[in-house]
Amino acid sequence: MAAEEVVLLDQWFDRGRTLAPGGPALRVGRQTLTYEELDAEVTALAGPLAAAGSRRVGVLAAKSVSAYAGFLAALRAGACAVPLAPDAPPDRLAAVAAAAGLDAVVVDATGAAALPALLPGLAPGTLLVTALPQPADLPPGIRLRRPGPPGPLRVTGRGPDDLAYLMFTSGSTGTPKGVPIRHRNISAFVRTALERYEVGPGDRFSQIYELTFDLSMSELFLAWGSGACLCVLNRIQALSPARLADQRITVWHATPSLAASLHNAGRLPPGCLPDVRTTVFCGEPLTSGTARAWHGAAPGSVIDNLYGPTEASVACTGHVWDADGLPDDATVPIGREFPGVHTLVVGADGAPADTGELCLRGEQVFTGYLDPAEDEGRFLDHDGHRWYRTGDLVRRDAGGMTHLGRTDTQVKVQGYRVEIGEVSAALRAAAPGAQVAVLTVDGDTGPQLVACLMGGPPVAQADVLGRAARRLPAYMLPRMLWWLPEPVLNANGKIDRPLLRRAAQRRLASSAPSESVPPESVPSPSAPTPSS
Amino acid sequence: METIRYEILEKILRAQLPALEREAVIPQDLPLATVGLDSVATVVLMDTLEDICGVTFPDEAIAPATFRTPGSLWAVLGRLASG
Repeated sequence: MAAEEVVLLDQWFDRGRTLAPGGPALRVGRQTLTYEELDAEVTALAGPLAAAGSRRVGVLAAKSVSAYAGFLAALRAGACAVPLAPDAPPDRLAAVAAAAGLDAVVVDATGAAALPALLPGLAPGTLLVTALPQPADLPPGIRLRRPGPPGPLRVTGRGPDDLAYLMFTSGSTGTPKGVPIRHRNISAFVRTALERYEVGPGDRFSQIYELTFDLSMSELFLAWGSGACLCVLNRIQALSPARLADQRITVWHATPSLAASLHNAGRLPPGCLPDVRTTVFCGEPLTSGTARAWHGAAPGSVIDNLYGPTEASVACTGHVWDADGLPDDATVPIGREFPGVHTLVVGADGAPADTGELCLRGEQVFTGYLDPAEDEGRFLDHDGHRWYRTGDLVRRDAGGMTHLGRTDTQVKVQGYRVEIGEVSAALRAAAPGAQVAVLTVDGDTGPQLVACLMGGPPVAQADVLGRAARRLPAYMLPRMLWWLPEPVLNANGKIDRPLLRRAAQRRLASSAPSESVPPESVPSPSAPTPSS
Repeated sequence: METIRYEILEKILRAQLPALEREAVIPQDLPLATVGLDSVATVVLMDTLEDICGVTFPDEAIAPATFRTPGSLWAVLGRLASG
């Protein structure tokens, strides 16, 4: 199948199978599946989904064969896939399930542990598809189905305007917001990206990012769309590339903070990634210093810096890095728009400008949020077209665009989108009676969240964050939180955020984590034994 | 001996996690993410433990579940020492 014929997201997998018959499609732990073997897993899960006419299929699974097969099975059955992270906070999981209107869920072993948290968000009649033993306490009305025999499916009437997936991002009002992406949106991205890179059968892609983060869609479908193998790594393995030499990864997707973390921790020595041919940076601003460090570690790799919000299907502009002479802290340009994507930069007055907010329209751009109320203020009518306002500030010049920051309080932490308002709302609920200031301070690897709670009864960090962790994923939990008896106010009677930020920086510096352990604590060479 | 050695694990954790209270005992079921153990800190912790305890984490132990709480980490270290 030629790339231009592919319109449905799952057809990129079929294309890979044609390009690499009998070749490896997926490596999980010590297990490797060929395209044919993974396809059999997909049809086994898709059978019961198609038979039930499922429309919205949750995938409560992570980094397992069932997770990848389940995502593809949802598409193959003609449904919209809704990735769900088993380690998501319980309250968030139920809220997302209810908002998505799931009528079926594929569950793997990790997901089974999170099922009790998900159940309150499921409607009666919802189908659970799993090969696992019967979960003990299924409420009445939830139907259990086993994967069927592998085989062809009869699903008709599918088209490029069907929803392919629904992903939830941080919402400033305190609840996650759903971003629906159609097959035509994400397939346009895959087609463009495959033209940018020389990849094919024999390549080995890292798979680091959770399916709930849309950068994973690039990892999966560029690998499968080119007939390559997807090699699954957890987030700790991803930060230990020296331990991964035998995987011979040739294509890395990385957030700049992952690369910066490796570099700062001395884990990116020159030449340590000799097999890498292509590196895709995405998710947050890339600095010249990080690009240079990566180039030293992977001298044979092309480095592509992509930009795009989830609303525009992974990425919609790109700039191939060349050994520039810029200072280490300079931001690498995000380059030019992909084919089929149109860009508009508007100044504060709403008129087109060289510097201002970036607006997008075109084949990759979504048509609106799951909850239409979220569309308010996010679209701009200009020149007879409807443009999505990204909230990203850019400067456009002869060399393309450069990212300058945000128009609002959204921040990127380790590549994840975080709305300060969502963190504040969760902390207020976790520490009733306190005033909450959530701030970012610059760390070695990018912004870090910190929070100051003021007033109310004294609280300890672990207690507050333990409660907040019911609503917030780990990357949204402040790295440090402290309590003060009285609010710290400026002359206008408002919370003095600059002063709190300086205080946070002092606190972080005075208690900086140390890699060395005091000599008196070094034990005998034998390892400890658990007490239980 | 066991008590002393859990104290050593506590010391190693304290050295890396500024948010931990200086004096209190660290409960075995404390979720380490709530005291600042992110992915980067986890990798540094893993290397430190390998150096100090003379063990090597096998591939299957290099997983978030190992580092969820002091107790889960303690259990894996015990298995590595005896296995």
